[in-house]
Amino acid sequence: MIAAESFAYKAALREARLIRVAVWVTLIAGFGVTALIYAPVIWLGVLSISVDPLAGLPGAFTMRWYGSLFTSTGWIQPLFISLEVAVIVSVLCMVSAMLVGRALPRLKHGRGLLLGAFLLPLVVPGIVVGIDIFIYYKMFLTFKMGLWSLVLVHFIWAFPFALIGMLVISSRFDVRLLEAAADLGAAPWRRFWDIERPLLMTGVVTAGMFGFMLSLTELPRSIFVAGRTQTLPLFTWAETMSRGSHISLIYCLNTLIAVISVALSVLSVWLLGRRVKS
Amino acid sequence: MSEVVEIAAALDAVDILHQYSGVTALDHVSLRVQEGEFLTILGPSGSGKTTLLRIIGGFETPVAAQRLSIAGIDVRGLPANHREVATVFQHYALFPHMSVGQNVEYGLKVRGVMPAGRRKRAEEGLRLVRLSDKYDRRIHQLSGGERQRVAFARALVTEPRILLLDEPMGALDEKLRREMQVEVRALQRHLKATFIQVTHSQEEALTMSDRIAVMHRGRIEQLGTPADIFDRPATRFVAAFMGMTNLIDGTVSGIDGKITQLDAAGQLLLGTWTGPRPPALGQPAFAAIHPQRIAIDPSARTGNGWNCFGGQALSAAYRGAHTDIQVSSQIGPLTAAVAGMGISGAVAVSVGWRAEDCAMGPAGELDS
Repeated sequence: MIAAESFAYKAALREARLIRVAVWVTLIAGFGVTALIYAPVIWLGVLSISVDPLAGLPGAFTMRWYGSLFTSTGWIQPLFISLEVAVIVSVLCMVSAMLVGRALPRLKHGRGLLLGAFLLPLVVPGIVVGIDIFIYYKMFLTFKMGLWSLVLVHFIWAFPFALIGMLVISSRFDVRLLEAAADLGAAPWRRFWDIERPLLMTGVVTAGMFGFMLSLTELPRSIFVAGRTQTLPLFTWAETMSRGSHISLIYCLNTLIAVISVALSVLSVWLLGRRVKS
Repeated sequence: MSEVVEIAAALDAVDILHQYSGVTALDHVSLRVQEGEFLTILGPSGSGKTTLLRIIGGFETPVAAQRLSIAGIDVRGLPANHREVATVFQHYALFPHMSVGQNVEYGLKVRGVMPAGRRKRAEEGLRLVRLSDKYDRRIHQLSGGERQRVAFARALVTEPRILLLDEPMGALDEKLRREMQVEVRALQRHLKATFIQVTHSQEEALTMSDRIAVMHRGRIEQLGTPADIFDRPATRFVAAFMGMTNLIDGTVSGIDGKITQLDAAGQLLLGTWTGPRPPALGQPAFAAIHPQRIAIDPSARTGNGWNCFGGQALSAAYRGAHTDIQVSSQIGPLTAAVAGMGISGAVAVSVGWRAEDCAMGPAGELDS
């Protein structure tokens, strides 16, 4: 026991007080950062239903801009291109994340090195990737830019995320289950289909969602490799820059994209969390 | 020329050699297991017992094998899914995304058995392990003991020629383990099936097996009935592993029929030769005695066929069912297990044991 008046006793009390203060500071800072992220998105949503969004301040509210999405249809073609690219990237991410994700945990040597190589594109600035691909394929190999080059840069961008999503699941996969299946008479393809596929499915779906989402909203890489093809982010960016007649629609479009992206992210994180728990 | 026609053994392994990156895991091992036999491969970790089981199951390919046949079929080069064996894994390896019933049916499903037939046989299998009401349960809803039963049912419904058990009791608590030992043995007798079990527990091996193969450093040191292994160890290693903590080294100084005499630094000991080859005079040898076969103050029993030495009791360790007494004797330190609380404090005692309870064998490693 510490004597009530002793120095050590007072120090212990001070320490407890300090911890309480630290908890409050952390909470406030945490909320602050969250507000930094979400406030602009909410602000955008509010502006998108304002009569004069260009004024920068919400005023009288209207659904007119959302209505005009149906009349001025310049955004529909880019949307379909974006969806097309996103679906291809999503499928590529699912297949490759599964192949790499199930192989990586089973490697005996060089696992860390390989993982590093796969994740490195995460830290390469998007513009650099865009320029690199343009210089190499367009100027050096003289390929025509278009859908395939968009798919390529989006895949480069999305694959590390897809792989991480996959590894959360696949690194917990117990390979002894495959021995058990073989022992019970299952051939290699059967073992994959009956045991690995269902148990890795959450990771595959997550990988696909990452691919889809990141491709759908990708801009910096697309700028350089799109050629004459226009994706939705390229469209909204171009419209915003030109301050053309479509500008009020951009608020609506961006709000919709933000809502859909958030919904998809929440869904994939939830799926992942559910599987990890069970 | 006369050829003896033999009924194919459940397992016939001859001269199996296996290495992991230069280290020998199995050093020319041969093993023959009869139909309906319960054989236990017993040994410490790293002795090669699990490797041998994995080679029989088809999970490892040996570097060389003169013969490896299951029920008369040469399985060398045959992958696990084409071998008529099934394994109960130490960690059960039940499929977490399937129900109990689906797990048990899986081996039948891959064999193309129709759903109705599958269901019937799975229910029979579950009844056999007393889990009839658990067909629709998820694996994570089961206790450890229930999971193990499901693993047994899943392996048994495929009607394997050999059931392989890889430390199946390893993850169970003491009480459940003892119950399962008896239950698994009864199940094996009931089915008249061939079981090959791997374990490091001598108690498990003695309780469950028809025969025990004791492995050490990649070789089978001794193959015999539980009584053979427990009372008549062929090597010093087997003696020590089976709990003969009293080991005395010396040289053979006399052979008289069934009784062998050992000279241990001037003290003479009488024992029974249990080594693989007959003893020779002057041969370095060991003597081994189970602690529970040593009597303290065997005053009335001295005489012919008895070894008797004076000594000093040093300490007593209470073990529940018995008490281990450490004795410093004329022939060296000894441990005697006595019933009850035993003695306390340092007192002069004499210790003794019968020649037939004193196993003797050649010193050193098993030669090739």
